[in-house]
Amino acid sequence: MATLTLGDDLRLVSANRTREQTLKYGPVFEVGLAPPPLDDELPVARDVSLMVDTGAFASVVSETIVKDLQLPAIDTVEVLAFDGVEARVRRRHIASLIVNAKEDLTGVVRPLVFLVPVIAGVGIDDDGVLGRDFLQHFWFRYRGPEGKSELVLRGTPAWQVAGLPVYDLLS
Amino acid sequence: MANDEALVAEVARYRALLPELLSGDSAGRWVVFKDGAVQSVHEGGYEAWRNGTRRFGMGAPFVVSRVEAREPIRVGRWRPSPSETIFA
Repeated sequence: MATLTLGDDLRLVSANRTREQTLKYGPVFEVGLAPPPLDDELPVARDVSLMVDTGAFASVVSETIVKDLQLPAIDTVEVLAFDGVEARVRRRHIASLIVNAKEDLTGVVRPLVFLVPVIAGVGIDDDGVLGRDFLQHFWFRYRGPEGKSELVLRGTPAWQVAGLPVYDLLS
Repeated sequence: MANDEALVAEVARYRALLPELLSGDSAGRWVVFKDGAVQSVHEGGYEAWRNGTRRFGMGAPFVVSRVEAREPIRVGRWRPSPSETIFA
């Protein structure tokens, strides 16, 4: 699972891949995905690999994963693929995206929760992609020669669920 | 799936009412929309979903949306297959 470094900045480091793997598959982050918490309990998460896609407006998760996790549907959206030829209607869902957080000063690792919108997608090669609706909250650094990428967040969590800091990216 | 169809129908009703909502107090805020009407207005999408779920039940077909103009969104690498139906 990806690790965040908590200090003034929250740093999420991509999966451990070689330069060649990153060149071929893109900057991939390993995270936990789960339904959103309804009360003070976080549902069990599934490990998924999501690729940063700055060309995508929205984040997309495989329909299979969406169904397995029973992510709640909240809306539908018209989606254009990269060629922009034809719009298709897809479901939009709400999800918890969980990363392990590491506090810079103490080295303590703990999970962080991001509440995010995701579109259920068919025809994607990976588990899904992180689009600009997610990336707008981060600085993104692509370390091509090292085959790594970083997502850096500045900000304080909105509240806690089950003792975990929660960042609401739907507000 | 019955819930998919119910959600699509609810979204259609929401879209029909959207021009009116855009000129009202809920513009720019999040709403829970069900049975053709705004049920509640919220500052965040998660808060809206939680409120709707507590009121109507987990999995109930209701819309949670920010009241703003809608247009198709573009995703990058993902390309839907030509044979794809609305819901897989």
